[in-house]
Amino acid sequence: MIRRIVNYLRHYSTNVFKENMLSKFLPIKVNQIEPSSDIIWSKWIGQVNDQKLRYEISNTVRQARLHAQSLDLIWTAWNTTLSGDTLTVAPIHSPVIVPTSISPSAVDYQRIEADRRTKEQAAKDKAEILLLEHLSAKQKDDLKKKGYFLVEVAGEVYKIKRGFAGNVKLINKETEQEMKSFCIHPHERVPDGDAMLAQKLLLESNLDQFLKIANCTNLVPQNDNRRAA
Amino acid sequence: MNKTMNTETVTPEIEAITFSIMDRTGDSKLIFDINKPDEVDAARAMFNTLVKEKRYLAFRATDKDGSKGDQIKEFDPKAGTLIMVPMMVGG
Repeated sequence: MIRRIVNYLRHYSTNVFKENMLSKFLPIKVNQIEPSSDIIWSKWIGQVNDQKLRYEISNTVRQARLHAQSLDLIWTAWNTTLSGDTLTVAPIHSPVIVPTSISPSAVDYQRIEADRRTKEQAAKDKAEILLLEHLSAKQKDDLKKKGYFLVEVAGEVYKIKRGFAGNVKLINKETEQEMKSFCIHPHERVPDGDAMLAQKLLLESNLDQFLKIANCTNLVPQNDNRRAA
Repeated sequence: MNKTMNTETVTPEIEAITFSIMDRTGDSKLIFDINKPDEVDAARAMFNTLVKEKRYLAFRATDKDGSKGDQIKEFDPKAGTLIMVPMMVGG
């Protein structure tokens, strides 16, 4: 059986076949007696049959492989350039064959990117609808014209700007100066509209929890803060 | 015999509980018929999983005119529409 396989290996001209066969038999070690293919093959076959020895790797043949584009040339190099007492065979790794189905072309990339953008826009639109369903007419108008809406809670006015994080501000009711910034958002990366609705709902229904979770940054120096307040 | 017409405005009975669960796609809606006990049980299980295990925040949307909703922590089959927000974190 092994002999038959090796004969195939010797006579088959397809590189892939040789590589596959080699990958199955490597590493196998053969002592060189003389640079003759027949002797090498016979030694190999004998040792394979003994199932004791294994090929090792030779820089000579590895270099041959690197320089040769064809495995036939490698075999030639192997059979003609051997020297020393030990015949060693290069590790011929099976080439990594990437199926064309998972090797996207530029056109595929464009299609994937277009799909991603479409889904992202659909998610944004859906979140925007949900947000608008829970805003007053004034808030909707502000959001459309100014990019934010105001929420009044416990006598304070908060501005929720378009965004996902760091977009909630405590403002001075009279001057509308931003006094503090709050960074709070859903743990999952939801569209901005959803994040803004979540901020609004928590702010209105549970201010203590909102302030406990949010990271707060003062936007005006303390002295100015007192003056503004 | 004269029949009189009842002209009182009747608040429609809540027939279903709707979960709007925020996610990457915007939100996913799940609707449960509260007249069916098995659906109420499923809704309760869903609520408990989200709120008590995954730490979602549940808000009852009282109406759709911008008035504030309530945060609820226990399942209420009469809640109507619930907006489920993934756990909030500080940035």
